[in-house]
Amino acid sequence: MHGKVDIERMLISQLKQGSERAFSDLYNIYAHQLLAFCKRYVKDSEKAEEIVQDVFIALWRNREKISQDTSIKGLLFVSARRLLINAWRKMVNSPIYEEFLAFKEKDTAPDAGASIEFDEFLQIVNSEIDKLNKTQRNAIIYTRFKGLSIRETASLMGLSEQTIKNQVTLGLKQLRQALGINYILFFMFFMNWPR
Amino acid sequence: MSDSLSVEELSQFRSWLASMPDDDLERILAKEWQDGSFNLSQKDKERLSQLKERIMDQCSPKRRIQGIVATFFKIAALIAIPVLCYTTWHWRSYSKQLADQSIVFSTQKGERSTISLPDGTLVILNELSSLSYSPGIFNSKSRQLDFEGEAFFQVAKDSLRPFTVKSAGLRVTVLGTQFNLMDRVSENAELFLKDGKVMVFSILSSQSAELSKGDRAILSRNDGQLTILRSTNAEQESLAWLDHNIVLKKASFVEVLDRITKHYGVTFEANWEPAEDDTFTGTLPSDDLEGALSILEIVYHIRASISGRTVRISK
Repeated sequence: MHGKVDIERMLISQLKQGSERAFSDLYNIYAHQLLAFCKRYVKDSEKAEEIVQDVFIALWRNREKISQDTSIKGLLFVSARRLLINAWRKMVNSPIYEEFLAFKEKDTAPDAGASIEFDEFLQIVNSEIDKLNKTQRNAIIYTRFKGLSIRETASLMGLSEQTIKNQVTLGLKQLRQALGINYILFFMFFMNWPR
Repeated sequence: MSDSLSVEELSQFRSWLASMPDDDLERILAKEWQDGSFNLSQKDKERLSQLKERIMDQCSPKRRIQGIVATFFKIAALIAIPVLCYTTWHWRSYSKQLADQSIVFSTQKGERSTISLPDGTLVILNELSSLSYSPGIFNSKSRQLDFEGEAFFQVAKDSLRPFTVKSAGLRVTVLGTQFNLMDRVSENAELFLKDGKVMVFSILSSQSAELSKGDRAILSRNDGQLTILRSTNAEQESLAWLDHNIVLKKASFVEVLDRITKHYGVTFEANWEPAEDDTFTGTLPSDDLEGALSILEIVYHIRASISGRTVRISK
């Protein structure tokens, strides 16, 4: 292990002295591992990148406190684990992830869907939601993405509960048509999510 | 975790996850992190370099200093307002130039860029280097650049406006010439003069020297001493990077691996090392990792195998 350990020791000692180059080298060595690791649990690239960003910024801010003999790989994990577990729990419990699995399960057409990634799915749904009118869009985002109840959404938007229900129904109908896939958003409409 | 769960399995998975305390999850994750091998899609790899820029932006010391002394400057600004009002008139033409923001060129790892300056000077910037100047000042009386990293300069002749490059350790003044300058914080700075005449000034030791064609000046990072060398193969060594080569001079095995690590972003695992005095002098390709490794295989009689971003070296 001579080569790797010595280079890492050198980079740590430079990092402790504030070398941006050493920091950049450490990023180049470990960032792709960390991002790939985060993406195993948090399928949403943006969320996974946020964690990588927070972890590396923490590494830089705390550079003077790093012990010379530490393993950077271990350190990155310690710094990432809480963030990652929280984001993982959030994603698993999110309505949109359930929607994604439902979509993959129901959509058996050979040409589409089967190999779609959560990322792409999010992008497609988000771009369609952007096309809805403002009331429908917000009603859907609050109830289906942020997991608020109809009542909470109604008071937040200053509308009646019945209006929210109607707007969600209309919005989902339009989404279904826009996405052109029969089963998509079916579950969104009937399930109650935790939180 | 797989994306091929059914909706029913997801609900079971949700209850499982809800029942697991964070500490247990940490243990599972820790094992995965230590044992796993990780692959990223091409798309994610590309996003990594954008992410790096965002991170480096936030980590830049300049911004932190702004935060700390912002309050001081607010107070100072209040005091300065009447003074400024009075002097603004006299300073108007000069401040116009100062108001110009400086233009910065920089290169990432593995990147190279050719820059043409307003006076016709041509600069080839090697990887991890940056160069900046203020356009308002650059063209008027003198031509001044701030510089870090490595670059080859082909300076346009202009006897009335001296051309000055300032790096961390050196100030180089020329009239019209071609030279290669390397000043990276982790190494000794080096200047190779391909043509013409330059003045080199060591900022640390205030020592200065005049170089002529073919000379090489090396600045010791420790004491700022300048050493002038005249060797026949200086040009080949100093300019090899222009031909996409990594140049090594009497480098130990660890230094060789270090250069490859820096350049290609790979990690080495080696269970073997050669004798301390077994040094390497020569060039390795800078755009072909396998080619570089196969040279090492021949020189050191070793085997190097690549898996992902890790290179394993065995005898």
